[in-house]
Amino acid sequence: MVAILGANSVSGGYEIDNSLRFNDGDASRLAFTPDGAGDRDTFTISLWFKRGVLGSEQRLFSAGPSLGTSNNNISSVRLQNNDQLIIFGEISQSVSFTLQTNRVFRDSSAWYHIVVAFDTENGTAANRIKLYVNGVQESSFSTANYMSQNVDTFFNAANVHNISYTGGNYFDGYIAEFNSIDGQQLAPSDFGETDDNGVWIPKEYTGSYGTNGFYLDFSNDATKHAIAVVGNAKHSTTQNKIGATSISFDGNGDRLDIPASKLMETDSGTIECWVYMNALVDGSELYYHPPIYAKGNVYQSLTVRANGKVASHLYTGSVNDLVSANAISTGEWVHLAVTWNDAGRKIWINGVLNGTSDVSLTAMDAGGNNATFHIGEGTADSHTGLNAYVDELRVSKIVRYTSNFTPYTSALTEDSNTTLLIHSDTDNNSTTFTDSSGVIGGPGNDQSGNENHYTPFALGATDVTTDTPTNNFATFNPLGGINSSGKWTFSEGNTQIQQNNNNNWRATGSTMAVANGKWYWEIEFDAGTMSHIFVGVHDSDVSLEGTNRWVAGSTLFYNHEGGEIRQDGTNTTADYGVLTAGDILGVALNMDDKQISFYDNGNAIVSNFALSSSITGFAMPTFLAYSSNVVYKVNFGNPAFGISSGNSDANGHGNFEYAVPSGYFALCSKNLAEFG
Amino acid sequence: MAYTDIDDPSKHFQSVIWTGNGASDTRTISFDGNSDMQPDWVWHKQRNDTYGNHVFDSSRGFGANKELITRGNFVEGDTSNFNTGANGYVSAAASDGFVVKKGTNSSNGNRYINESNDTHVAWCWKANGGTTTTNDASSTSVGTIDSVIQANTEAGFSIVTYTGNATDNAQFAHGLGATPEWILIKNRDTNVDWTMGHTDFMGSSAENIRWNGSSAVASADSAAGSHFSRNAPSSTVVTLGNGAGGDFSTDTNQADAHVAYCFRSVQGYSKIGTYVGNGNADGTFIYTGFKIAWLITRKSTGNNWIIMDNKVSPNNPSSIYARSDTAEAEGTSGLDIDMLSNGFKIRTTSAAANSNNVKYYFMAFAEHPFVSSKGVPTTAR
Repeated sequence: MVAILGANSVSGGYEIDNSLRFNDGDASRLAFTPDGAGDRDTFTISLWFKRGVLGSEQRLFSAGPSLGTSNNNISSVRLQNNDQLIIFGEISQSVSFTLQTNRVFRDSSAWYHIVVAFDTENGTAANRIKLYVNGVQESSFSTANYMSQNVDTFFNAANVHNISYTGGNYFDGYIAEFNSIDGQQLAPSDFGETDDNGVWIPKEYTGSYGTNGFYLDFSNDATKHAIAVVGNAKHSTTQNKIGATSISFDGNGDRLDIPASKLMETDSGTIECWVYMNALVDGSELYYHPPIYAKGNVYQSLTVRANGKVASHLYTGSVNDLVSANAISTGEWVHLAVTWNDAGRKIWINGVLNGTSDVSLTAMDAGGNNATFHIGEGTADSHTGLNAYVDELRVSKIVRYTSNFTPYTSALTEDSNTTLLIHSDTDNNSTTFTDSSGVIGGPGNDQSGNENHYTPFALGATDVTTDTPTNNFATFNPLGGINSSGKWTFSEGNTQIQQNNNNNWRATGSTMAVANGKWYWEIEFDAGTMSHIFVGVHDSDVSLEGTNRWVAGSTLFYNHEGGEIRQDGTNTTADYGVLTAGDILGVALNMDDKQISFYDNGNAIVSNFALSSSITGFAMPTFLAYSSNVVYKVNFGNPAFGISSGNSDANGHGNFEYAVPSGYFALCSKNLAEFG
Repeated sequence: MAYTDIDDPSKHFQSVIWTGNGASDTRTISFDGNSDMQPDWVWHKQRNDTYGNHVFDSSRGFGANKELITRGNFVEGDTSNFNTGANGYVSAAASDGFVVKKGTNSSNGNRYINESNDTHVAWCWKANGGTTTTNDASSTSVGTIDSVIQANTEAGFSIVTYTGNATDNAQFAHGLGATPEWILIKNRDTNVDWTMGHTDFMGSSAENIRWNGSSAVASADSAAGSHFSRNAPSSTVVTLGNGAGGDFSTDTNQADAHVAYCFRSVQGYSKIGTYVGNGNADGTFIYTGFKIAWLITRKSTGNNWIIMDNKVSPNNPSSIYARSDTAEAEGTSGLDIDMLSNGFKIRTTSAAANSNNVKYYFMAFAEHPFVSSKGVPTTAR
């Protein structure tokens, strides 16, 4: 069982709770294809990323229908082999635009924020693409060829969009807080700000997203709506249109509630269902969306009047009712639909257009109210309940009908434009209601309200991490530990290393070192030859370069070879036992008392061993190996492997296999600030 | 305890770059850092030409002919070689920068520091706003010779002036409140070399290096290496030379006026240390625990000094460098270093920064700590 711990705690300011870890070796990516084109000329992309493997071509974001077919049609933002960033576009194999930095992005210990803002309609070429890094507009480019004015990119077009991939070139590292804004060229101040000390930090984006915009917070939250039953609402076999039952509302306090809903906050859409009226009660509500105060106290409903006419009711400071031309009757199934877009709204009865208004429901677009959506009755006393049966209710984020149509008579299937789908085909009197729309939950879920969900590939629950721009976790450091025979092979966001050259020493440190405090981390070994394994700390002032660091001073290692402690290059005589494949070695470093303890699968094997007196500065977690193909998986609190139990430290940070010793903490920036 | 006591390094150190405008008299050069800072030590270098490496401080006083030259052994205000009174100088500190003033030379009065279209950089540290304290050694029993101290104990920097007494093991109080790890000393009255002491060798058998030269660390057994005592500095005093060469009076303790600039490492803000080169373009990584704003390195076995900062080189690779020991304009290639969120990484095989198995000395200051005391991590660079 995989246990995912809670989000980072809030300590003031905007907090990013999660990121997504991409491993290029797994071909991990996210993909989405819009149904229709948005604004291909004017848009903004904002994301934070932390690098894993360096020195290879890696795509952060790309869009286009073809690549590698001798007819490239692609727009992309990618990292180059030389670690520069390039914003690049080709149309029919011809280069449309190229903006390549002189700056290299090879600081793998912290997070970058980039904003890429397009406006190809701008009369000034240099304003058609703007790149901002950590809040500052980039001005130094090795190549700066802007597109011709008004050129359409493939971003926001009805073609595949990929995060991390296009024909290979997978991203390796972490991505967080991915905002894509369709239709606006924005500034970094929409996504970040400078704190009191001059550090660029993230802030919540509060604007609208446009048609194909999206927001990925990688929270892994489900987008299926929870449906709560109020009163006697239930499934009933008394009437049924599609399936064995329909939903019964008796008109007296019965309703279905969908909390935290943005269902009616899209810039176009359709709401529809089958309804069987038991009685025509004036003002009885098929649905009611309560006020969005941020948008000017707007609200809406769909009501049935005493005369059988159906009204799409909208309040925007004044009432605007769109009333159907025809009336419906009791005792028969009728299909009702309301569609809306920028041009206005329409009401349909049994697939026949019954009224048009140039006042749209878009007054509620992107309201961000997260209000509870009600079916069958509003909540206040003044609302009137619906006395009817309802079946096969669907809400969509697109206009489904533009001309008269034949209503569906069989169960609908969800698609990428379906934002709510309630079937009723179950046992009589059942009160279990489920939303059959959307994805069950995954790291590509769009949280913008647009339901532009990205489909994950080779990305699982363990790839959703709490290593974020607001709580940076330690990893292996690929920038250190170089010797003439090469380096480790790094993967999984630098939480995994493999010795790839037999009979040569490898050493690497971590991206964080500590002078104070108590710290805990775990290492799992599950491949290769289990010999010549050294795990411990070294004084960060002592170089890891060169070979044979296991004989160096200012070091202390647990030496798997014989189960000894090796201090300043000399083994102790004690034998603390050896590890076996699959074991997890726990390390508890006490810099306050200059001691270190080791655990094998949670059992102490070395307790409070005094650190070398030669470790006088920062102690850095350190890993050595001579063994062939041995794999180290480090867990500083953001594991790339499954955790069966799930243990965090006393501050709620980290996710460890075994209990964190009392008073010890995960090696992350929030803890480092407090104790390090 | 909190990771750092200095969340905003711009309160204590800032770099600034400017292009000369040929002002008719004075011009205020303003910092662009997060906080306003009135500097007490201003080290100026012309970037596109040979002038500069002039050092001014508020203890000795800013003004005409108050400069010390890092690339030579010249006395303070040397008018025969570098007449700042005629060619331009730092005339005063400002509340968030400093003032440069045209010299008296009617045709070249801005030559050193504000000639039109010339480019300049200054690296500036805050001590104590120009306010000094005097240590009367005979009264306090701290040290053996009197010193005038302007210290910023929070940021680990002090400016000390003293008059030498040509006596073995003379000591002056430095005011840091902790042991200095990097000391620069200059005789103000006599043309002798700058002396640099580093925690790696002060008190051992190799005792100083020239700030104005490219030679190797000099042994204490030589005349050139005897300017610091074999007794390492303490948390209160610096002990001057009694080396076997018996040359104590040459550079640090003649009966002349001297100035000493003393530094210690402060977690999250500054780091003084060493690294060993690997001779590989995928070079050594050095952990500092902060994002680098300014870096100086020097090969122990002899080479030129290298200085890089985040204003001249705002992005990686940092490839533009200055030298403190030569007159040359800034270099622009062949010495790539990545300045990172938690340290720096050598990206060159140049012997000036990365000979295999050779030790290098460095001192670095922060743009931001790796994480602030409030838990805000710095961004990647």
